[in-house]
Amino acid sequence: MKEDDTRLASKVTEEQLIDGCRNNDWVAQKELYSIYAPKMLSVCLKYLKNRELAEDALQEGFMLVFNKIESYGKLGSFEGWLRRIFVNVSCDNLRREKILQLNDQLDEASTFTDKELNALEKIESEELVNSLTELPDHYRVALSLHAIEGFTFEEMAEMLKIKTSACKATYYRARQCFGDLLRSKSLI
Amino acid sequence: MFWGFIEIKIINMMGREFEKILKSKLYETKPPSDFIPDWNRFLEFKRKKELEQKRRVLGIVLRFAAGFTILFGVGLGVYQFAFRDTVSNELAVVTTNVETTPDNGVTESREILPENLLIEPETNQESVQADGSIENIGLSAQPSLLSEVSTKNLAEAASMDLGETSSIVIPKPDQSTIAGKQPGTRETQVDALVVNGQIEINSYKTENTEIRPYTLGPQLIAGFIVEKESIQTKEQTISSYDIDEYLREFSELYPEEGEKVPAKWSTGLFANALASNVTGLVADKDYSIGNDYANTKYFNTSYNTDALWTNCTFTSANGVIASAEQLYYNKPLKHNPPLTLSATASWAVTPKIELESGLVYTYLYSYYDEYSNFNSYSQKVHYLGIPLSVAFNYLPEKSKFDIYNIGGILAEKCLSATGVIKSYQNSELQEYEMEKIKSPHIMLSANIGLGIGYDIFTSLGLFAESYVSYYILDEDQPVTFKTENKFNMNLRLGVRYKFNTK
Repeated sequence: MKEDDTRLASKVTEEQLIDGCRNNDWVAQKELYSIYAPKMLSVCLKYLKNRELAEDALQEGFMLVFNKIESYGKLGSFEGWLRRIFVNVSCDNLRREKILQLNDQLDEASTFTDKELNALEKIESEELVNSLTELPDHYRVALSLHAIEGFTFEEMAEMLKIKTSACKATYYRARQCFGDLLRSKSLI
Repeated sequence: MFWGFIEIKIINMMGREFEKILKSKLYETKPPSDFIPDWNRFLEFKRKKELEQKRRVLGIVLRFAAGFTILFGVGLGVYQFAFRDTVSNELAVVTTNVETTPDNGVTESREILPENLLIEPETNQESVQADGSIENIGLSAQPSLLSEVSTKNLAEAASMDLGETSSIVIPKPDQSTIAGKQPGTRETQVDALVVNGQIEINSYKTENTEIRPYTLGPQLIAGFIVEKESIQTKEQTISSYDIDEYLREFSELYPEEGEKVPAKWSTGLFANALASNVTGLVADKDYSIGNDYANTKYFNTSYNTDALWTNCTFTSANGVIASAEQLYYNKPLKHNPPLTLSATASWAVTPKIELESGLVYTYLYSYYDEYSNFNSYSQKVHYLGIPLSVAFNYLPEKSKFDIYNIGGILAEKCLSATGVIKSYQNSELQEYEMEKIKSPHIMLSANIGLGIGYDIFTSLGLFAESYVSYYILDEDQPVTFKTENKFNMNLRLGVRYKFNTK
């Protein structure tokens, strides 16, 4: 296969890239990869702390993207569609590595005070990412899926192949744990 | 209750606020600064995954094939032994009490066994003296096998579908073939029922009348011998008899020209075509099999490093570069599938059962791609073994095809094991070789599988055997594909030469 670098230089729209990928045009695939790989790696890293595992999930996700791109209906955002694939792949990896240990015993719900929420808003993203990384895997995943990505508990349950009640319980416990962690660091 | 409801509402609101803040701050996060999208890495990953997928599929197919062949073999075995009487390719014959009533009034009872159908019945002979008196001279024809005629007729009868009841006439052979006798009138009639290729003989009736000269010397006729035979069935029971066995016995005794004669001895040469561990992927040069880190076993009780290596340190001009412990500690050793070459000899104990033994040579190669200071490490292990197997063939020996179950043990001895380190020292490639002590123990494995064979020529055949091996004893053996995959599946292909001992 001879690489046609001239096509890379030209400006192409996202739609053209998607169409190219649908036609198995490797130039379009490469371009799509170079555009979205960094973003999607950061998505994977929210779920998989291990950089090597996250990069493997990234490659696996792109394989899936190129195989399944026919199923993208162009109705929603392409990035949103991509994100979901990478979240799914990361969750699959977590399950495969047996990292997730969720149980469905619901603790008493706790939350943040107004003052704490105000403080939370002022914390730098990087600081929050670091704190999130310090959480146990199942808590980090639960927070990422529900709070950050906005998946419902039912969707989470489907993705993680567990009960909805287990998702809820883990999420509430994760939120509490995250609050405790931020409090211990005097960030809120 | 009202305050409780309010409290839950507040908690939910706070929760949503928390989620909103978290999403705004963490939905878009910066990727690691050192990350550069590498398209080649993606292509490499894709290639490996696709290869892995192919191996997985092949592994599933192999495991399915192994399971199927074993089940098929066991099923066939059970069928053969448990339902032997209902096998369609059997001839039902009469085992009957027969009353022989010769003319002198003596009644004899004897049982007609299957062979009797093909044996000329004994006859009572009487001589008519010159004065007209009759004397029983007690001559009796020696039973003789009339294989050609009978075999042909029985084979024909077996393939006939005569409906519910019919008579099959099995003619007696030409009397001229029996020395010293004149042709006479003989007829043997068998009423038989042929159902689904089986013959049930309902009655057996023989009548013979023969008159021939009784000579005392050349040209001198002393009288005439009147030979009469009348055998009739009085009672009968039906039993089964394997027509293949029946025909085989006769074809062994009276082979037709060009007919295949069952071989007593055969030799085989074969090579391992494929090896796979039962629980993992198919072995391949690119990937290790089983537990990559399993060689840490060397430091467990079952493996003894000191006992395996004569030279535990490797020194160069610059000093010690590695010890065996450093080399092996917690590093993944990748194994290639074993290469096996065998030469065996088989002896047919019975037409169905063969004993097999011989020599099996196995070459095992393992390697590290990278190891800290070393660029590579490779290990070559050679085994020589003696197998002892029993094969049970399901098809008739005259068939061009063989389907058989084979099972047995293989005792192997490690002949040599060497490891080679290739290391760059001051930009120069250097090799360090170490000799591993040959393990004093025998490695023992049990094998069971199913084989199929096809005879291209009368004596030369091809065969393929799929079998599962389990390593029973592998104490103090070098870490290889075999020790890492205690339970593995193999496929071997080969040629077999059958010696005609007739």
